[in-house]
Order: sequence, then structure tokens, then C-alpha cells
Amino acid sequence: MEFNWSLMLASYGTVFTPGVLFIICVGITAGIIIGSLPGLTATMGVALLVPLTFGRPPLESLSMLIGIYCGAMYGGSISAILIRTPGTPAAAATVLEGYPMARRGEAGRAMAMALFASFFGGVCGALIMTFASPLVSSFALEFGPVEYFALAIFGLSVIVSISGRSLIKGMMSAFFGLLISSIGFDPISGFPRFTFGMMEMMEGPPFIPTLIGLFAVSEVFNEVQKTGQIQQLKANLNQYLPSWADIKYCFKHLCRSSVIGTFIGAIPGAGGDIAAFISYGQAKRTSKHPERFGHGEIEGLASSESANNACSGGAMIPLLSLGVPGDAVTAVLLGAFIIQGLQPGPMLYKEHIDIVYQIFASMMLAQFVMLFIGMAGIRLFAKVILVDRAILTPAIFVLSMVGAFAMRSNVFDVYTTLAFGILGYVMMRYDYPLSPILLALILGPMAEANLRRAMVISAGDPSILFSRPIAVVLMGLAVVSLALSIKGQKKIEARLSEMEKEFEVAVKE
Amino acid sequence: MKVADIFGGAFGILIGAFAIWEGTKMPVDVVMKIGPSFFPNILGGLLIVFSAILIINALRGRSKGKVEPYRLSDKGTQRGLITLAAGIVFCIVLDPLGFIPTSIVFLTFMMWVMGKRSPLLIVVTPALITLAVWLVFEKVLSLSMPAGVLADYL
Amino acid sequence: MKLKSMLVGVAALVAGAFSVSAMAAYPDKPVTVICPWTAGGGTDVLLRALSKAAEKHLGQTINVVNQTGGAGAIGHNAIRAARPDGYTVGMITFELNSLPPQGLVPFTWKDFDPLMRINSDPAALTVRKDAPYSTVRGFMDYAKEHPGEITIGNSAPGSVWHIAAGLAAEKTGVQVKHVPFDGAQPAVTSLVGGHIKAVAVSVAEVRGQVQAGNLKILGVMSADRDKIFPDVPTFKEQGVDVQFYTWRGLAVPKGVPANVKAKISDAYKKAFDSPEFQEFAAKASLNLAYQNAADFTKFLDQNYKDVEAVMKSLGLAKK
Repeated sequence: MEFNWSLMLASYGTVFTPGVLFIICVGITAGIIIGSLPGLTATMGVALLVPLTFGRPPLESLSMLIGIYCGAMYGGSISAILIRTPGTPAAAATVLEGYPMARRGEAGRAMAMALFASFFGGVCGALIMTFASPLVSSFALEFGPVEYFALAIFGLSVIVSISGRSLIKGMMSAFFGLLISSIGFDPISGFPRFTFGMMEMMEGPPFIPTLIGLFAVSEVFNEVQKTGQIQQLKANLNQYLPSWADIKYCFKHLCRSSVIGTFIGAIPGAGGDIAAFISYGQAKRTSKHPERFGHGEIEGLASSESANNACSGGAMIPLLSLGVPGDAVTAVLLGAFIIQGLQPGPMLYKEHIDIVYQIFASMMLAQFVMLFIGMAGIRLFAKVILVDRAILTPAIFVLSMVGAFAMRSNVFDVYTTLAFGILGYVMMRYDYPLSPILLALILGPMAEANLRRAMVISAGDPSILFSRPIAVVLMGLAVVSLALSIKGQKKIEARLSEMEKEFEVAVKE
Repeated sequence: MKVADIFGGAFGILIGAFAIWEGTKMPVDVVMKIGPSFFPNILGGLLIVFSAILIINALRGRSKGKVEPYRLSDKGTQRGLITLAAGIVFCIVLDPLGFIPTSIVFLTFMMWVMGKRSPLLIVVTPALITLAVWLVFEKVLSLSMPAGVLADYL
Repeated sequence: MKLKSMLVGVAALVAGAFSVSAMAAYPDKPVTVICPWTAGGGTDVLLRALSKAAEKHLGQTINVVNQTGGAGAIGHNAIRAARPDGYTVGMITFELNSLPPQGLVPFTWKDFDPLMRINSDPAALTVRKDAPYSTVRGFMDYAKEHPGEITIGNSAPGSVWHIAAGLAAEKTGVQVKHVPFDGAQPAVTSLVGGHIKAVAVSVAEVRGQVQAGNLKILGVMSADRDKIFPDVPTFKEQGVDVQFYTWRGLAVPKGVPANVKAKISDAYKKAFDSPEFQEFAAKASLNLAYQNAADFTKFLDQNYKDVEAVMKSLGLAKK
């Protein structure tokens, strides 16, 4: 497919009109708000607003939906940083560094970096989408059951990196999480496992309520006990963009994570949550200061946020060029295309190449709009952190419950949220890291279903796992990253306990 | 942390054992060798292994970190337990009572627990928060909240 | 049990009273339609298009909510358990008749109040364009000559397409391996990528890839040829007497007042007949097959018996 420069320019002209720009602004603003609300994901945001686009011309509708998509991906980081509630699953990795930064009084710095990283990732994703769609989509099609299994294993190797200070406890969390992920229908035989006869359990514990419970509600329990002892958080909120030093410091991670994010987004069925965690693990392994991760390291924040926004560009690639959605959000977008009378895929390139280029253009413009609206919003959003904790903490609890309920309008999910909140609190208290559970819930079903699928295809012959180059490379990478991180983890544990000792000595003196 | 680690490890072993025991009741796939119980068995087994290591480490005195023990007389602990109870009540009454009353009562109560006494503050703020949340979810996003006792008026 | 049925009765009465008070204005707030399948799938797209067309006849916003999981069990149960005030409508699908024989759900279609059938789509056997066979017979012969090589993807274990593929294989006496995916879309993607040999899903779900020249349809399991691809022969024409359809329809929980039900039915029937929906259905290659509530109820009864029998013979039903 030849790249058509003049059409590209004409498309930018078409998109760069007040009408379309306004629609993108609306989409981005709605997306940021939806993304920042716990429980409302980018997928849900797009699905909710699809009906608003009925009867509008294709370009306007699709631009708005793309705006929501990109906005929500960024919006998730706002609540992740400020109130330890990942607004979307893709922002779960952002919590790990963003919230400790905010606790340290660096909310402004964290928010500015999250916005810039989102913008940077989004632009990279849109660039790759514009110029390398055919190439990337043929790569995406290579992914069959074996490759998905290998990708899941590679993703799971990140667990070591997010294990906090005890690898053993991290592993226990991970295997506990994987066991939870096996609740529900067996993906191959359909046998209901560990459901205790409850229909709500047939699909396993609902993901969003689990996520909100583990992070937000557990922190509520933590917070109420401390009232009076901790002083109100201070925050320096005079920042709209990260300082030049911060950008330079994170630049390497921004670039790498954006590319990783785009590619993972392009793989059908793997979305922003996986991209963010894999990039985060990657950043930690290659960082000069891995021991700072988990305590508010801006590198980790930059990499997870750039990855999840790059992911949206990546996920559009197979959607447009193959008619195959790259993640859950683009699956909804596929429906929106069809309702517009457009069938994404090779036919779209043949018959409506103008629309394809206009989508490229509006994807790119959406990133800039997101940057400006985000900058305008930072101050407003960041004020949240200055709210009196005695008001904020109960409000977070209510908002968490509402978010959990809204997903499926199911009271069962509210109980799930509370149960995981209690579990999360107990685990935090005794030093069991929470994020391995999350990663296990995201990747466990992917690993199991695809391993079993591969076994069905090969009639039980395990050699199929080593018959495909991409899978072998991924599994090799998983082993290497596992080895490196375990080695690194030992060092980190040693450095951390050293620091603790020094601290104790200092306190005594 | 030593005792806590031993308890944690024991709990992990229990969960792992339960998973494996449940797995024995699942149908076996003869052809593929790996059926529904394959993954749970491996995971349960590994959970048991790591839990055992944790216990052994704890017994050898290698536990890391410290935990402040709970004391019921402690104000923080009391507040934690009250919050827990309030949270459970919140979940139970959410559906029958409806979101708006549940949320207002919960917020008022919790703000009082957390030390706010100004009557104006603890009456007006919860209502405003609740209303804002309700408007965004119910009206803007058309996501229905439990209406409960107010079903007729909303 | 007596207490329970009394409670249900009281609840229905109370709900009825509420609805009566709200009746004058029905619908005075947005109506929710539960879709038991994921956003972007065949069911979802159909439901959204139909609901969009129904909005102006109902005079209210209609929100499609995807309550997914449990092979459709969650969504169907949510429809069944919804408040019978007319503000929750649901799309019921074939799985409502295939879940009970597996002993997975404590309800059957009899626990719903069917409104109308919308479509009934036959399964289509689809393979890659470059496959060495171009007829159903050829495919089956190839499968016989190469035992253990043919893999057919379906949308979930025990799902409609799993049963359809099983039935076709049983009728022709070939051994194939059924590979369940998490929905039809991933199965089709996997076929395009060459990871499996065939899929047995509806025409609508493979249409895009067939028109793009990546896949070809070998045959459709219906009585008549498909409207979009009239060149594709049916299974029966090719000497394999298999007919298997999935169907979709609308239902409400038991206990919705008759006049509210009539309003919903009316709005959706008008939407169904509207030119924009008919055009959409043609674009999406849906096999529209409207039935009113009475006919749909009869159909459900017969379909339930048929599906149960097939599942028993395939060993998919609970023993």
C-alpha cells in the first residue's frame, strides 16, 4: 500500500475544521472525566456514547469516539495518582508510582508527567499507525494460541518486578491471583470451577470491582485509622508540563514504552493494561535506580502512562487494516463503524481510503487536544488532593462502590469490591504486594485458555509450544527477564533493608 | 512479623490444598491430558510451595519488617472496625434502600467518625457529594443506580 | 417455597403498583436493554442498530448494556431477574436453550416473557481462501484423509457454533477437533491468521473477511441460500442434510404489565420494519426472521426440545 501524502494533507485539512475539532474536544473532555471515575473504563465510555453518534456523519462520530478513547486512557491516571484508584485497568501500573509521588507532595509533578507521557505515547502510537499499519497488522495476525500463551508468560514474568520487598510474598500473591482467575467456566471444556453454585461466579470474580477493591477500598481502611496522625497532604500544583529535566530523565523510557505499547495494542486481545505492566517491568529492569520503584519513581510512571496511550494507536491498526479489533475498546468501535455502514478491513482501504486517512489525522489531532485540555484540567483535578481527608476518604469509598456497581448493575459486584478491599487491606498490612494479583487476573485466563487451546490443536502434543518463532522468542525473553529481575530483586531487597537500617539508626540518634 | 508470616503461610497452604482437592472433582480430559483441573493443580501446588518457604523462613527468624499489633483501645483500630462495619451495612442496604439515602447517611456517619463535628459541614457536604455522583452516573451517563425507596420519585 | 412464591407475588404486586403509578408517563426515563454478549459482537451490533431505530418510536433513550460472561448465563439471568417495570428489556439468544441442558443455569426460556424473534442465522462453514477444498464434501473428504488435522473454531464451549460443528461432523462421520474461543470474533481472527482450519459461525461474523478475500464460505446450514452470498450452496444441496440456526429475540422479565409490554413490542416492531434497520440488516448480512410473541413462544418450545436432543447425542448435555 503506497502512502499517499497529498491525501494525508487533504485529510488533515478536513479534520482541522472547527466542527470536527469541537467534536474531538467534546470527546476528549468526556473521555478524561469517564476515565478518571473509578469503574468507568475507556471501553464503557465509548460504548456508552456510541448511541450519541448515530445519525451523524462518519468522520464526526468516529472522531468523537476516538477522542473518548484517548481521553479515557489518560483520565485513568488522574485518579490513580490522586486517590490510588485506577480509573481504568490500564492505569493500574500508574498507581504503583503515581500515588507514592502524590503522598510525597509531588502530585503536580506526577500529573504533569502523566499527561505528557500520555501525549507522547499517543503521538507515537498515532505515528506508527499512520505509517506502518500494513506491516504491524501482518505481525498481529501471527498471533495464535501459542503466541498468546507465550505473551502471557512474558507478561507474568513482570511479577518479580512488582513484588515489593519480598519475592516470596510476591509469588504467593501471584499464585493466589492466578487461582482466583481460574474461578468460573473452564475456557475449553466449559466446566464451572470453584463457583460454589453461584451464577455470578461463573465468569470469575468481576475484574473492575476486584481492581477497585484491592486498591481504593483497602486504602480507605488504611486511611481512616491514621486520621489525626497524618498532616494534610501538600501539593505543589503550579506545573502544567513536566520540567525539562524530568523529560530528559525519562526520555529513553518514554520512547521504548511507546513502541512496546503500540505493538501490544496491535495484538488482538491484548490491551492497555498488559502494555502498561510490561513497559513498567521493562523500565524497572533497565533503570539505574530500580530500588526507587514502588516508592514514587517518575520513570515508572512515565513508562506505564506512555505505554497505555500508545496502545490506543496500536489497537486501531488491526481494526482498520484487518477488521479485527486490537483491544476491548476497538471491539466497540468496530460496532460503531458497522453502524456507520463502514466495514473496517482491507475493503475499507479500497473503498474509503479517505476515511482511513481522516481517522489517522483525527487520531493525531486528538493527542494535541488531549494535551491542551489536560493542561487546563490539571489544576482543577489536582485540587482533589487538597480536600480534607475526613471528607475525601468516605467519598472515595462511595465512589468506588458506585463505580463497581455501574459496570454491570449488579449488587454482587459491590460485595466483591468490599471483600477485595478487606483482603487488600490485610495483605498490605502484612506486606503482601497487591499488583501481582492484578497482573495474574489480567494474564492468567489468557495463559490458561491459550495453552489449552494450543493443546487441543496439537492433540495434546506439547512440542507445539516450541514450533513457532515468535512464541519461542517471547518465552526466551520471559526466561531472561525472569532471571534478570530475580537477580536485580536480590540487590533491591538488600539495598532496601540497608536503607531501613540507616533510617532506624538515624531515628535513634 | 514472624507470627503473621506463619499464619499467612498456613492460609496459603490451605487455599492451595482446597484448590487441588476441588480439582479432583473436575472431569478429566483423557485425550488432551490437561483438563479443567490442570491449571488449578499447578497453581495450588506452587502456592503451597511458596507458603511453605515463607513459614520456614519465618521459623528461622528471617521475617522482614515489623507490624504494629492491633490494640482495641487504640483510636485508629476502633475507627477501622467502625468503618468496616459501616462498609458492610452500606453494601447490604444499598439495593433495598437505594443509593441516595444510603450514600448520604454513610457519608455523614463517616465524616463524624473521622472527627468532623460542624453540623453544617456534615449535613450539607454528604448531600452535595451524593447528588453530584448521582447526577453524573444516572443522568449524564445513563447508568442506573439502585433507586430503592425513592423509586417512585426519581 | 410457599413463602418464596408469596414474596415473589408481593414483589410483583408492589412493582406493578409502582409501574401503574409511573404508567401514565411510560417511558419517562431511559430504557435499558441487556445484551448478554460482548460489545462489538454480532448480537451487540444488531441490538444497538435496532434500539437506535426504536428510540424515536418509544420516545426515550434506549441504553444497551453488555452484561457478559458465563456463556451468556449472566446476561440472561440479569434479564430474568430485572425489575419487571418495562425499563429493562433484554435480548435473548440461542444459548438460553443450550445452557439448561448442560445443567448450568436454574432457568429456561419459560422464565421469560418473549416479545419477538428478530433473526435466525444459519451456521456457515468457513475456511481460508487458500484451502485445498472448496465444497463441504471436499472438506469432509480432506478431514477423513488427514485425521487429526482439521480444527474448527467456535465461540465458546457448548455454544451454538460448537453444537453446529459437532452436528455437521457427526452427520458426515468425520473426526474434527473443536477449538473454543472467547467469542466468534477471536475465532475468525485466528482463522485469518491460519491458526485453525475452519470456523462454523454465522455469515454475518465472517462477511467482512470473506469480502476482503481472506476467507471463503463452503456452505451454509440453512434451508435456503444466503442473500448476500447467493453463490454459496447450502449443506443440503451438497448432500449433507444439516440445518442449524442461531436465533435472537427480545424478551422481558415475567410480570411486566401488558400495556407496557405492548408499547415496547410496538416500538421495536416499528423499528424492525423501518427502512434504516432493514438496510442495516442487509449490510450486516443478518437473516431477519420476525415472529410475534405467540409464534416466538411456540418456536422457543420446539427449539428447546431439538437442542436438548442434539446436545444429548453429542454428549454435551449433562448426564
